[in-house]
Amino acid sequence: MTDPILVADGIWKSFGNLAVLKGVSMSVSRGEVVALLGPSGSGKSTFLRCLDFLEQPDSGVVTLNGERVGVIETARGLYERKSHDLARQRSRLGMVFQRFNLFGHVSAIENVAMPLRLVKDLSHAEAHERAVGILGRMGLADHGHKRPSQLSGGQQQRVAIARAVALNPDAILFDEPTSALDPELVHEVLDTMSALAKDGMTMIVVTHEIGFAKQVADRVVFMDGGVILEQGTAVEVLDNPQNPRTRAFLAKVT
Amino acid sequence: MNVNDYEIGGSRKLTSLPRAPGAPPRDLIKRQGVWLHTLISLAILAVVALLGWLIVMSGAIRWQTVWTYLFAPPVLAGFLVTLELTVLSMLIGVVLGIAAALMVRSRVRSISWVGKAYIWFFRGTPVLVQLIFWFNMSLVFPTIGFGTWTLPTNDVITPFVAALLGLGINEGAYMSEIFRAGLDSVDKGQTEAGLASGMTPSQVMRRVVLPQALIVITPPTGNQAIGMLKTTSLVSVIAAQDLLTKVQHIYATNYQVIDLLIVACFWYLLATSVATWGQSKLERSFAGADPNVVGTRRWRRGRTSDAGAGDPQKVSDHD
Repeated sequence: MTDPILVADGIWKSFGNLAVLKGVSMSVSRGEVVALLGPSGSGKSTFLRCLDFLEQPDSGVVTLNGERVGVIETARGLYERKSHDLARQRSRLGMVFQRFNLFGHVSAIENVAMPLRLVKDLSHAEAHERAVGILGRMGLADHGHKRPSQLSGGQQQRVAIARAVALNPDAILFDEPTSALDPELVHEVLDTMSALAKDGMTMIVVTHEIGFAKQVADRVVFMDGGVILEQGTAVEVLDNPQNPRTRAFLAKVT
Repeated sequence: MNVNDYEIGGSRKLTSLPRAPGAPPRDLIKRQGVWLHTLISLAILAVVALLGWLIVMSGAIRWQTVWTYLFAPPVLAGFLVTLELTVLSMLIGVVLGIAAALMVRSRVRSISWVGKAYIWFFRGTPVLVQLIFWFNMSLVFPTIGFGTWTLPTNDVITPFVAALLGLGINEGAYMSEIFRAGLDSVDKGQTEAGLASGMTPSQVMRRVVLPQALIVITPPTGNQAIGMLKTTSLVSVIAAQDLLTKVQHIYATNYQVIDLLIVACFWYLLATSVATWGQSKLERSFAGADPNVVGTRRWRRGRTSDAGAGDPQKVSDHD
Protein backbone atom coordinates (compact mmCIF):
# COMPACT_ATOMS: atom_id res chain seq x y z
CA MET A 1 0.00 0.00 0.00
CA THR A 2 2.77 2.39 -0.88
CA ASP A 3 1.01 4.42 -3.54
CA PRO A 4 -2.75 4.47 -2.95
CA ILE A 5 -4.39 5.67 -6.13
CA LEU A 6 -8.05 4.95 -5.42
CA VAL A 7 -9.32 5.09 -1.86
CA ALA A 8 -12.85 4.46 -0.59
CA ASP A 9 -13.55 5.25 3.04
CA GLY A 10 -16.72 4.20 4.85
CA ILE A 11 -19.09 4.00 1.90
CA TRP A 12 -22.77 3.64 2.83
CA LYS A 13 -25.53 3.28 0.30
CA SER A 14 -29.20 2.40 0.73
CA PHE A 15 -32.01 1.90 -1.76
CA GLY A 16 -35.18 2.67 0.15
CA ASN A 17 -35.06 0.67 3.36
CA LEU A 18 -32.42 -1.69 2.07
CA ALA A 19 -28.86 -0.86 3.14
CA VAL A 20 -26.71 -2.29 0.34
CA LEU A 21 -23.36 -0.94 1.53
CA LYS A 22 -22.62 -0.61 5.23
CA GLY A 23 -19.37 1.25 5.51
CA VAL A 24 -17.09 -0.29 2.91
CA SER A 25 -13.48 0.89 2.88
CA MET A 26 -10.79 -0.09 0.41
CA SER A 27 -7.49 1.31 -0.77
CA VAL A 28 -6.03 0.31 -4.11
CA SER A 29 -2.38 0.93 -5.01
CA ARG A 30 -1.03 1.79 -8.42
CA GLY A 31 -0.70 -1.34 -10.53
CA GLU A 32 -2.65 -3.49 -8.10
CA VAL A 33 -5.31 -5.94 -9.27
CA VAL A 34 -8.13 -6.48 -6.79
CA ALA A 35 -10.71 -9.25 -7.26
CA LEU A 36 -13.99 -8.48 -5.52
CA LEU A 37 -15.93 -11.64 -4.70
CA GLY A 38 -19.24 -12.27 -3.02
CA PRO A 39 -22.71 -13.72 -3.47
CA SER A 40 -25.20 -11.79 -5.58
CA GLY A 41 -26.80 -8.98 -3.62
CA SER A 42 -23.70 -8.55 -1.50
CA GLY A 43 -23.18 -5.00 -2.78
CA LYS A 44 -20.11 -5.54 -4.98
CA SER A 45 -21.55 -3.88 -8.07
CA THR A 46 -23.06 -1.02 -6.11
CA PHE A 47 -19.68 -0.43 -4.49
CA LEU A 48 -18.00 -0.30 -7.89
CA ARG A 49 -20.64 2.11 -9.19
CA CYS A 50 -20.12 4.34 -6.15
CA LEU A 51 -16.41 4.59 -7.00
CA ASP A 52 -17.32 6.05 -10.41
CA PHE A 53 -20.16 8.11 -8.91
CA LEU A 54 -22.70 6.36 -11.16
CA GLU A 55 -24.36 5.84 -7.80
CA GLN A 56 -24.01 8.64 -5.30
CA PRO A 57 -22.94 7.21 -1.93
CA ASP A 58 -25.15 8.24 0.99
CA SER A 59 -22.02 8.85 3.01
CA GLY A 60 -18.34 8.12 2.79
CA VAL A 61 -15.44 9.43 0.78
CA VAL A 62 -13.97 8.27 -2.52
CA THR A 63 -10.68 9.80 -3.59
CA LEU A 64 -8.85 9.30 -6.85
CA ASN A 65 -5.24 10.54 -6.90
CA GLY A 66 -5.98 12.42 -3.71
CA GLU A 67 -8.94 14.27 -5.24
CA ARG A 68 -12.40 13.66 -3.84
CA VAL A 69 -14.67 12.11 -6.48
CA GLY A 70 -18.07 13.62 -7.27
CA VAL A 71 -18.22 16.23 -4.53
CA ILE A 72 -16.29 19.25 -3.36
CA GLU A 73 -15.73 20.00 0.32
CA THR A 74 -16.15 23.63 1.26
CA ALA A 75 -16.51 25.56 4.48
CA ARG A 76 -20.28 25.60 3.89
CA GLY A 77 -20.49 21.85 3.37
CA LEU A 78 -20.41 19.37 0.49
CA TYR A 79 -21.27 20.42 -3.06
CA GLU A 80 -21.94 18.28 -6.07
CA ARG A 81 -19.28 18.78 -8.72
CA LYS A 82 -20.31 20.49 -11.96
CA SER A 83 -21.01 17.98 -14.72
CA HIS A 84 -17.88 18.80 -16.75
CA ASP A 85 -15.75 18.50 -13.60
CA LEU A 86 -17.26 15.12 -12.72
CA ALA A 87 -16.79 14.05 -16.36
CA ARG A 88 -13.10 14.95 -16.11
CA GLN A 89 -12.80 12.76 -12.98
CA ARG A 90 -14.66 9.89 -14.58
CA SER A 91 -12.36 10.03 -17.59
CA ARG A 92 -9.57 9.03 -15.18
CA LEU A 93 -11.51 5.86 -14.23
CA GLY A 94 -12.45 3.29 -16.82
CA MET A 95 -15.56 1.17 -16.40
CA VAL A 96 -16.43 -2.14 -18.04
CA PHE A 97 -20.01 -3.34 -17.65
CA GLN A 98 -21.58 -6.76 -17.42
CA ARG A 99 -23.81 -5.99 -20.42
CA PHE A 100 -20.94 -4.38 -22.41
CA ASN A 101 -23.00 -1.22 -23.04
CA LEU A 102 -21.29 -0.48 -26.33
CA PHE A 103 -22.81 2.45 -28.19
CA GLY A 104 -25.26 0.61 -30.42
CA HIS A 105 -25.43 3.07 -33.29
CA VAL A 106 -21.74 3.23 -34.22
CA SER A 107 -18.94 0.86 -35.24
CA ALA A 108 -16.43 -0.73 -32.88
CA ILE A 109 -13.80 1.80 -33.95
CA GLU A 110 -16.17 4.68 -33.32
CA ASN A 111 -17.05 3.25 -29.89
CA VAL A 112 -13.41 3.73 -28.97
CA ALA A 113 -12.77 6.90 -30.97
CA MET A 114 -15.85 8.91 -29.94
CA PRO A 115 -14.82 9.34 -26.27
CA LEU A 116 -11.28 10.14 -27.38
CA ARG A 117 -12.57 13.04 -29.47
CA LEU A 118 -15.14 14.27 -26.97
CA VAL A 119 -13.17 13.73 -23.78
CA LYS A 120 -9.52 13.91 -24.81
CA ASP A 121 -10.09 16.49 -27.57
CA LEU A 122 -8.22 14.39 -30.12
CA SER A 123 -8.78 15.16 -33.80
CA HIS A 124 -10.81 12.76 -35.93
CA ALA A 125 -7.65 11.32 -37.48
CA GLU A 126 -5.77 10.93 -34.19
CA ALA A 127 -8.73 9.33 -32.45
CA HIS A 128 -9.32 6.96 -35.34
CA GLU A 129 -5.67 5.97 -35.45
CA ARG A 130 -5.50 5.28 -31.73
CA ALA A 131 -8.77 3.33 -31.79
CA VAL A 132 -7.60 1.15 -34.66
CA GLY A 133 -4.28 0.57 -32.88
CA ILE A 134 -5.85 -0.50 -29.61
CA LEU A 135 -8.46 -2.72 -31.26
CA GLY A 136 -5.64 -4.33 -33.24
CA ARG A 137 -3.73 -5.09 -30.06
CA MET A 138 -6.88 -6.74 -28.65
CA GLY A 139 -7.08 -8.99 -31.70
CA LEU A 140 -10.07 -7.15 -33.14
CA ALA A 141 -8.42 -5.70 -36.24
CA ASP A 142 -10.90 -7.40 -38.58
CA HIS A 143 -13.95 -6.29 -36.62
CA GLY A 144 -13.38 -2.56 -36.30
CA HIS A 145 -16.03 -1.55 -38.82
CA LYS A 146 -18.76 -3.76 -37.41
CA ARG A 147 -21.64 -2.61 -35.29
CA PRO A 148 -21.85 -4.07 -31.77
CA SER A 149 -24.82 -6.23 -32.74
CA GLN A 150 -22.68 -7.91 -35.40
CA LEU A 151 -20.08 -8.95 -32.83
CA SER A 152 -20.08 -11.90 -30.44
CA GLY A 153 -20.39 -11.18 -26.74
CA GLY A 154 -16.70 -11.80 -26.19
CA GLN A 155 -15.77 -9.44 -29.00
CA GLN A 156 -18.14 -6.79 -27.69
CA GLN A 157 -16.64 -7.00 -24.23
CA ARG A 158 -13.14 -6.67 -25.65
CA VAL A 159 -14.24 -3.56 -27.56
CA ALA A 160 -15.62 -2.23 -24.27
CA ILE A 161 -12.27 -2.90 -22.61
CA ALA A 162 -10.52 -1.16 -25.52
CA ARG A 163 -12.84 1.82 -25.06
CA ALA A 164 -11.84 2.05 -21.40
CA VAL A 165 -8.11 1.48 -22.03
CA ALA A 166 -7.96 4.05 -24.84
CA LEU A 167 -8.63 6.87 -22.40
CA ASN A 168 -5.48 5.88 -20.52
CA PRO A 169 -7.22 5.88 -17.12
CA ASP A 170 -5.62 5.59 -13.68
CA ALA A 171 -7.68 2.47 -12.98
CA ILE A 172 -10.34 0.35 -14.66
CA LEU A 173 -13.37 -1.02 -12.83
CA PHE A 174 -14.82 -4.29 -14.14
CA ASP A 175 -18.40 -5.09 -13.16
CA GLU A 176 -18.83 -8.84 -13.71
CA PRO A 177 -17.28 -8.60 -17.18
CA THR A 178 -17.85 -12.26 -18.09
CA SER A 179 -21.20 -12.97 -16.44
CA ALA A 180 -23.25 -12.23 -19.56
CA LEU A 181 -21.05 -14.31 -21.86
CA ASP A 182 -21.56 -17.76 -23.30
CA PRO A 183 -19.14 -20.12 -21.49
CA GLU A 184 -16.92 -20.65 -24.53
CA LEU A 185 -16.35 -16.89 -24.86
CA VAL A 186 -15.28 -16.24 -21.27
CA HIS A 187 -11.60 -17.10 -21.73
CA GLU A 188 -10.94 -14.53 -24.49
CA VAL A 189 -12.13 -11.73 -22.23
CA LEU A 190 -10.19 -13.05 -19.24
CA ASP A 191 -7.07 -13.35 -21.40
CA THR A 192 -7.43 -9.72 -22.44
CA MET A 193 -7.80 -8.71 -18.80
CA SER A 194 -4.78 -10.78 -17.74
CA ALA A 195 -2.68 -9.07 -20.42
CA LEU A 196 -3.90 -5.71 -19.16
CA ALA A 197 -2.93 -6.66 -15.60
CA LYS A 198 0.52 -7.71 -16.78
CA ASP A 199 0.93 -4.29 -18.42
CA GLY A 200 0.52 -2.78 -14.96
CA MET A 201 -3.04 -1.50 -15.19
CA THR A 202 -4.71 -0.86 -11.84
CA MET A 203 -7.88 -2.95 -11.80
CA ILE A 204 -10.82 -3.71 -9.54
CA VAL A 205 -12.69 -6.72 -10.84
CA VAL A 206 -16.05 -7.89 -9.56
CA THR A 207 -16.13 -11.49 -10.69
CA HIS A 208 -17.28 -15.03 -10.07
CA GLU A 209 -14.26 -16.44 -11.92
CA ILE A 210 -12.30 -17.98 -9.05
CA GLY A 211 -9.59 -19.20 -11.41
CA PHE A 212 -9.00 -15.70 -12.73
CA ALA A 213 -8.86 -14.31 -9.20
CA LYS A 214 -6.28 -16.94 -8.24
CA GLN A 215 -4.04 -16.35 -11.22
CA VAL A 216 -4.23 -12.61 -11.73
CA ALA A 217 -5.39 -10.84 -8.58
CA ASP A 218 -2.84 -9.39 -6.16
CA ARG A 219 -5.57 -9.21 -3.57
CA VAL A 220 -8.89 -10.93 -3.14
CA VAL A 221 -11.68 -9.20 -1.24
CA PHE A 222 -14.77 -11.07 -0.10
CA MET A 223 -17.94 -9.07 0.47
CA ASP A 224 -21.31 -10.12 1.84
CA GLY A 225 -24.23 -8.22 3.30
CA GLY A 226 -22.74 -4.87 2.38
CA VAL A 227 -19.48 -5.28 4.28
CA ILE A 228 -16.02 -6.65 3.56
CA LEU A 229 -15.72 -9.90 5.50
CA GLU A 230 -12.25 -10.99 4.52
CA GLN A 231 -9.37 -9.94 2.32
CA GLY A 232 -5.82 -10.93 1.54
CA THR A 233 -3.79 -12.67 -1.12
CA ALA A 234 -5.51 -15.21 -3.34
CA VAL A 235 -3.86 -18.02 -1.42
CA GLU A 236 -5.02 -16.67 1.92
CA VAL A 237 -8.64 -16.01 0.97
CA LEU A 238 -9.32 -18.69 -1.63
CA ASP A 239 -7.25 -21.61 -0.33
CA ASN A 240 -7.50 -20.95 3.35
CA PRO A 241 -10.61 -18.86 4.05
CA GLN A 242 -11.11 -17.87 7.69
CA ASN A 243 -14.68 -16.56 7.63
CA PRO A 244 -17.38 -19.27 7.54
CA ARG A 245 -19.40 -17.29 4.97
CA THR A 246 -16.39 -17.09 2.68
CA ARG A 247 -16.03 -20.84 3.04
CA ALA A 248 -19.70 -21.43 2.28
CA PHE A 249 -19.54 -19.18 -0.79
CA LEU A 250 -16.38 -20.80 -2.16
CA ALA A 251 -17.85 -24.24 -1.62
CA LYS A 252 -20.80 -23.25 -3.81
CA VAL A 253 -18.94 -21.64 -6.70
CA THR A 254 -16.03 -24.07 -7.03
CA MET B 1 -53.55 -27.53 -34.38
CA ASN B 2 -55.11 -30.49 -36.09
CA VAL B 3 -52.81 -31.94 -38.71
CA ASN B 4 -55.85 -32.68 -40.88
CA ASP B 5 -56.43 -28.94 -41.27
CA TYR B 6 -53.57 -28.82 -43.76
CA GLU B 7 -53.12 -30.31 -47.16
CA ILE B 8 -49.62 -31.36 -48.06
CA GLY B 9 -48.40 -30.97 -51.60
CA GLY B 10 -46.18 -29.01 -53.96
CA SER B 11 -46.27 -25.29 -54.65
CA ARG B 12 -44.67 -23.15 -57.33
CA LYS B 13 -44.05 -20.19 -55.05
CA LEU B 14 -42.63 -22.02 -52.04
CA THR B 15 -40.56 -24.54 -53.99
CA SER B 16 -38.96 -21.69 -55.90
CA LEU B 17 -37.34 -20.51 -52.66
CA PRO B 18 -33.65 -21.39 -52.32
CA ARG B 19 -33.22 -24.80 -50.86
CA ALA B 20 -30.23 -26.60 -49.38
CA PRO B 21 -28.72 -29.18 -51.76
CA GLY B 22 -30.21 -32.60 -51.15
CA ALA B 23 -33.18 -31.24 -49.18
CA PRO B 24 -36.60 -32.53 -50.24
CA PRO B 25 -39.16 -30.11 -51.77
CA ARG B 26 -40.85 -27.92 -49.20
CA ASP B 27 -44.26 -29.01 -47.95
CA LEU B 28 -47.14 -26.90 -49.18
CA ILE B 29 -49.46 -25.85 -46.40
CA LYS B 30 -52.62 -24.33 -47.88
CA ARG B 31 -54.70 -21.73 -46.16
CA GLN B 32 -58.35 -22.42 -45.43
CA GLY B 33 -61.32 -20.11 -45.82
CA VAL B 34 -59.65 -17.76 -48.31
CA TRP B 35 -62.73 -17.80 -50.58
CA LEU B 36 -64.88 -16.46 -47.73
CA HIS B 37 -62.55 -13.52 -47.11
CA THR B 38 -62.47 -12.80 -50.83
CA LEU B 39 -66.24 -12.86 -50.96
CA ILE B 40 -66.57 -10.44 -48.04
CA SER B 41 -64.07 -7.99 -49.50
CA LEU B 42 -65.77 -8.14 -52.89
CA ALA B 43 -69.12 -7.41 -51.24
CA ILE B 44 -67.67 -4.37 -49.45
CA LEU B 45 -66.11 -3.21 -52.70
CA ALA B 46 -69.46 -3.52 -54.48
CA VAL B 47 -71.25 -1.42 -51.86
CA VAL B 48 -68.58 1.30 -52.02
CA ALA B 49 -68.64 1.27 -55.82
CA LEU B 50 -72.42 1.61 -55.79
CA LEU B 51 -72.24 4.58 -53.42
CA GLY B 52 -69.57 6.20 -55.56
CA TRP B 53 -71.65 5.62 -58.66
CA LEU B 54 -74.71 7.20 -57.02
CA ILE B 55 -72.68 10.28 -55.98
CA VAL B 56 -71.10 10.71 -59.39
CA MET B 57 -74.40 10.19 -61.21
CA SER B 58 -76.45 12.41 -58.89
CA GLY B 59 -75.55 15.46 -60.91
CA ALA B 60 -74.40 17.36 -57.80
CA ILE B 61 -70.80 17.25 -59.02
CA ARG B 62 -69.93 19.27 -62.08
CA TRP B 63 -66.62 17.80 -63.13
CA GLN B 64 -66.10 20.77 -65.40
CA THR B 65 -66.10 23.05 -62.31
CA VAL B 66 -63.73 20.75 -60.46
CA TRP B 67 -61.36 20.84 -63.42
CA THR B 68 -61.61 24.63 -63.73
CA TYR B 69 -60.64 25.24 -60.13
CA LEU B 70 -58.16 22.42 -59.66
CA PHE B 71 -55.24 24.57 -60.82
CA ALA B 72 -56.76 27.99 -60.18
CA PRO B 73 -54.14 30.43 -58.79
CA PRO B 74 -55.97 31.06 -55.48
CA VAL B 75 -56.28 27.31 -54.88
CA LEU B 76 -52.59 26.76 -55.59
CA ALA B 77 -51.68 29.73 -53.38
CA GLY B 78 -53.80 28.24 -50.61
CA PHE B 79 -52.14 24.84 -51.06
CA LEU B 80 -48.75 26.52 -50.74
CA VAL B 81 -49.81 28.19 -47.48
CA THR B 82 -51.02 24.81 -46.21
CA LEU B 83 -47.61 23.30 -46.97
CA GLU B 84 -45.81 26.25 -45.34
CA LEU B 85 -47.97 25.97 -42.24
CA THR B 86 -47.32 22.22 -42.05
CA VAL B 87 -43.55 22.49 -42.34
CA LEU B 88 -43.13 25.49 -40.08
CA SER B 89 -45.49 24.33 -37.34
CA MET B 90 -43.85 20.89 -37.34
CA LEU B 91 -40.47 22.59 -36.95
CA ILE B 92 -41.78 24.61 -34.01
CA GLY B 93 -43.35 21.43 -32.64
CA VAL B 94 -40.11 19.45 -32.87
CA VAL B 95 -38.04 22.16 -31.17
CA LEU B 96 -40.60 22.67 -28.39
CA GLY B 97 -41.09 18.91 -28.13
CA ILE B 98 -37.39 18.23 -27.53
CA ALA B 99 -37.20 21.09 -25.04
CA ALA B 100 -40.28 19.92 -23.14
CA ALA B 101 -39.16 16.29 -23.13
CA LEU B 102 -35.77 17.26 -21.70
CA MET B 103 -37.43 19.55 -19.16
CA VAL B 104 -39.75 16.79 -17.94
CA ARG B 105 -36.73 14.52 -17.46
CA SER B 106 -34.79 17.20 -15.57
CA ARG B 107 -33.55 16.46 -12.06
CA VAL B 108 -34.61 19.96 -11.05
CA ARG B 109 -38.21 19.56 -10.01
CA SER B 110 -39.37 23.06 -10.93
CA ILE B 111 -38.09 22.64 -14.49
CA SER B 112 -39.80 19.28 -14.71
CA TRP B 113 -43.05 20.87 -13.57
CA VAL B 114 -42.85 23.63 -16.18
CA GLY B 115 -42.54 20.97 -18.88
CA LYS B 116 -45.40 18.93 -17.46
CA ALA B 117 -47.65 22.00 -17.15
CA TYR B 118 -47.00 22.91 -20.81
CA ILE B 119 -47.91 19.41 -21.97
CA TRP B 120 -50.93 19.28 -19.69
CA PHE B 121 -52.37 22.58 -20.90
CA PHE B 122 -51.80 22.26 -24.62
CA ARG B 123 -52.84 18.63 -24.83
CA GLY B 124 -55.82 19.29 -22.62
CA THR B 125 -57.42 22.03 -24.70
CA PRO B 126 -58.69 21.76 -28.29
CA VAL B 127 -56.30 23.09 -30.90
CA LEU B 128 -59.24 24.86 -32.54
CA VAL B 129 -59.83 26.85 -29.37
CA GLN B 130 -56.11 27.62 -29.11
CA LEU B 131 -56.10 28.92 -32.68
CA ILE B 132 -59.01 31.27 -31.99
CA PHE B 133 -57.24 32.34 -28.80
CA TRP B 134 -54.05 33.35 -30.64
CA PHE B 135 -56.14 35.06 -33.32
CA ASN B 136 -57.84 37.20 -30.67
CA MET B 137 -54.68 38.00 -28.73
CA SER B 138 -55.27 41.71 -29.36
CA LEU B 139 -58.22 41.53 -26.97
CA VAL B 140 -55.76 40.68 -24.18
CA PHE B 141 -52.79 42.77 -25.32
CA PRO B 142 -53.90 45.58 -27.68
CA THR B 143 -50.26 46.49 -28.32
CA ILE B 144 -46.94 44.67 -28.13
CA GLY B 145 -43.59 46.27 -27.38
CA PHE B 146 -41.33 47.91 -24.84
CA GLY B 147 -41.63 51.48 -23.57
CA THR B 148 -42.25 53.88 -26.43
CA TRP B 149 -41.63 51.24 -29.12
CA THR B 150 -44.95 49.47 -29.57
CA LEU B 151 -46.90 47.87 -32.36
CA PRO B 152 -50.58 46.99 -32.61
CA THR B 153 -50.92 43.33 -31.77
CA ASN B 154 -52.96 42.69 -34.88
CA ASP B 155 -50.01 43.81 -37.03
CA VAL B 156 -47.71 41.32 -35.34
CA ILE B 157 -50.06 38.39 -34.90
CA THR B 158 -51.52 38.14 -38.39
CA PRO B 159 -53.79 35.19 -39.09
CA PHE B 160 -50.78 33.32 -40.48
CA VAL B 161 -48.72 33.96 -37.34
CA ALA B 162 -51.65 33.05 -35.13
CA ALA B 163 -52.05 29.82 -37.11
CA LEU B 164 -48.35 29.06 -36.75
CA LEU B 165 -48.36 29.73 -33.00
CA GLY B 166 -51.52 27.74 -32.44
CA LEU B 167 -50.48 24.70 -34.47
CA GLY B 168 -46.78 24.74 -33.52
CA ILE B 169 -47.17 25.16 -29.78
CA ASN B 170 -49.93 22.56 -29.68
CA GLU B 171 -47.82 20.18 -31.73
CA GLY B 172 -44.87 20.65 -29.35
CA ALA B 173 -46.91 19.12 -26.53
CA TYR B 174 -47.59 15.99 -28.58
CA MET B 175 -44.05 15.82 -29.97
CA SER B 176 -42.63 15.96 -26.45
CA GLU B 177 -44.44 12.74 -25.60
CA ILE B 178 -42.97 11.13 -28.72
CA PHE B 179 -39.49 12.34 -27.81
CA ARG B 180 -39.93 11.18 -24.23
CA ALA B 181 -40.86 7.68 -25.38
CA GLY B 182 -37.91 7.73 -27.79
CA LEU B 183 -35.43 8.77 -25.12
CA ASP B 184 -36.84 6.19 -22.71
CA SER B 185 -36.39 3.49 -25.35
CA VAL B 186 -32.60 3.86 -25.25
CA ASP B 187 -31.07 1.51 -22.70
CA LYS B 188 -29.85 3.20 -19.52
CA GLY B 189 -26.55 1.37 -19.94
CA GLN B 190 -25.81 3.56 -22.95
CA THR B 191 -25.99 6.67 -20.80
CA GLU B 192 -23.91 5.07 -18.06
CA ALA B 193 -21.24 3.96 -20.51
CA GLY B 194 -21.07 7.47 -21.93
CA LEU B 195 -20.82 9.06 -18.50
CA ALA B 196 -18.26 6.51 -17.35
CA SER B 197 -16.17 7.36 -20.43
CA GLY B 198 -15.97 10.92 -19.16
CA MET B 199 -18.53 12.47 -21.48
CA THR B 200 -20.66 15.26 -20.06
CA PRO B 201 -24.41 14.62 -19.78
CA SER B 202 -25.11 16.88 -22.76
CA GLN B 203 -22.50 15.07 -24.88
CA VAL B 204 -24.08 11.76 -23.92
CA MET B 205 -27.50 13.10 -24.90
CA ARG B 206 -26.38 14.50 -28.27
CA ARG B 207 -23.92 11.82 -29.36
CA VAL B 208 -25.23 8.62 -27.79
CA VAL B 209 -28.88 8.79 -26.73
CA LEU B 210 -30.57 11.04 -29.33
CA PRO B 211 -29.11 9.28 -32.40
CA GLN B 212 -30.46 5.98 -31.10
CA ALA B 213 -33.77 7.48 -30.00
CA LEU B 214 -34.35 8.81 -33.54
CA ILE B 215 -35.08 5.30 -34.78
CA VAL B 216 -38.02 5.17 -32.39
CA ILE B 217 -38.99 8.83 -32.82
CA THR B 218 -39.10 9.03 -36.61
CA PRO B 219 -42.17 6.91 -37.48
CA PRO B 220 -44.61 8.67 -35.11
CA THR B 221 -43.15 12.05 -36.09
CA GLY B 222 -43.95 11.22 -39.70
CA ASN B 223 -47.49 10.36 -38.64
CA GLN B 224 -47.74 13.68 -36.84
CA ALA B 225 -46.55 15.56 -39.94
CA ILE B 226 -49.12 13.78 -42.10
CA GLY B 227 -51.77 14.56 -39.51
CA MET B 228 -50.61 18.17 -39.48
CA LEU B 229 -51.21 18.48 -43.24
CA LYS B 230 -54.88 17.89 -42.52
CA THR B 231 -55.06 19.70 -39.17
CA THR B 232 -53.95 22.92 -40.90
CA SER B 233 -57.44 23.05 -42.42
CA LEU B 234 -58.66 24.18 -38.98
CA VAL B 235 -56.99 27.54 -39.53
CA SER B 236 -59.73 28.35 -42.03
CA VAL B 237 -61.75 29.55 -39.02
CA ILE B 238 -59.25 32.38 -38.58
CA ALA B 239 -59.00 33.01 -42.34
CA ALA B 240 -55.31 32.15 -42.54
CA GLN B 241 -55.45 31.81 -46.35
CA ASP B 242 -54.77 28.09 -46.39
CA LEU B 243 -56.21 25.72 -48.98
CA LEU B 244 -59.56 25.31 -47.23
CA THR B 245 -59.90 29.07 -46.60
CA LYS B 246 -59.34 29.76 -50.30
CA VAL B 247 -61.77 27.11 -51.39
CA GLN B 248 -64.39 28.38 -48.96
CA HIS B 249 -63.93 31.91 -50.32
CA ILE B 250 -64.61 30.65 -53.81
CA TYR B 251 -67.69 28.61 -52.99
CA ALA B 252 -69.04 31.43 -50.86
CA THR B 253 -69.53 33.35 -54.10
CA ASN B 254 -70.39 30.66 -56.63
CA TYR B 255 -72.11 28.07 -54.36
CA GLN B 256 -70.29 25.13 -55.99
CA VAL B 257 -69.61 23.72 -52.52
CA ILE B 258 -69.14 20.03 -53.31
CA ASP B 259 -67.04 20.64 -56.41
CA LEU B 260 -64.61 22.89 -54.56
CA LEU B 261 -64.37 20.54 -51.60
CA ILE B 262 -63.38 17.84 -54.06
CA VAL B 263 -60.68 20.20 -55.34
CA ALA B 264 -59.43 20.64 -51.79
CA CYS B 265 -59.51 16.89 -51.12
CA PHE B 266 -57.47 16.29 -54.26
CA TRP B 267 -54.63 18.47 -53.01
CA TYR B 268 -54.80 17.16 -49.44
CA LEU B 269 -54.70 13.58 -50.72
CA LEU B 270 -51.81 14.38 -53.02
CA ALA B 271 -49.81 15.92 -50.18
CA THR B 272 -50.54 13.15 -47.67
CA SER B 273 -49.75 10.48 -50.27
CA VAL B 274 -46.39 12.03 -51.08
CA ALA B 275 -45.68 12.48 -47.36
CA THR B 276 -46.61 8.86 -46.62
CA TRP B 277 -44.32 7.67 -49.38
CA GLY B 278 -41.54 9.88 -48.05
CA GLN B 279 -42.08 8.58 -44.55
CA SER B 280 -41.72 4.95 -45.56
CA LYS B 281 -38.52 5.84 -47.43
CA LEU B 282 -37.18 7.61 -44.36
CA GLU B 283 -38.10 4.76 -42.07
CA ARG B 284 -36.35 2.32 -44.31
CA SER B 285 -33.17 4.35 -44.34
CA PHE B 286 -33.33 4.59 -40.56
CA ALA B 287 -33.87 0.87 -40.33
CA GLY B 288 -30.67 0.58 -42.37
CA ALA B 289 -28.86 2.29 -39.54
CA ASP B 290 -29.87 -0.52 -37.23
CA PRO B 291 -28.21 -3.78 -38.22
CA ASN B 292 -30.72 -5.71 -36.14
CA VAL B 293 -33.49 -4.88 -38.56
CA VAL B 294 -33.72 -7.51 -41.22
CA GLY B 295 -33.51 -7.02 -44.94
CA THR B 296 -32.12 -3.54 -45.38
CA ARG B 297 -29.44 -2.78 -47.90
CA ARG B 298 -26.86 -1.61 -45.42
CA TRP B 299 -27.44 -4.64 -43.26
CA ARG B 300 -26.83 -6.99 -46.16
CA ARG B 301 -23.74 -5.10 -47.14
CA GLY B 302 -22.46 -5.48 -43.59
CA ARG B 303 -23.23 -9.18 -43.67
CA THR B 304 -21.56 -10.04 -46.96
CA SER B 305 -18.29 -8.60 -45.70
CA ASP B 306 -18.27 -11.01 -42.78
CA ALA B 307 -20.09 -14.05 -44.03
CA GLY B 308 -20.69 -16.72 -41.47
CA ALA B 309 -21.00 -14.58 -38.35
CA GLY B 310 -24.62 -14.74 -37.39
CA ASP B 311 -27.83 -16.37 -38.35
CA PRO B 312 -28.27 -16.80 -42.12
CA GLN B 313 -31.97 -17.54 -41.55
CA LYS B 314 -32.50 -13.81 -41.01
CA VAL B 315 -31.49 -13.01 -44.58
CA SER B 316 -33.63 -15.58 -46.31
CA ASP B 317 -36.65 -14.48 -44.28
CA HIS B 318 -36.83 -11.31 -46.29
CA ASP B 319 -35.53 -12.25 -49.72
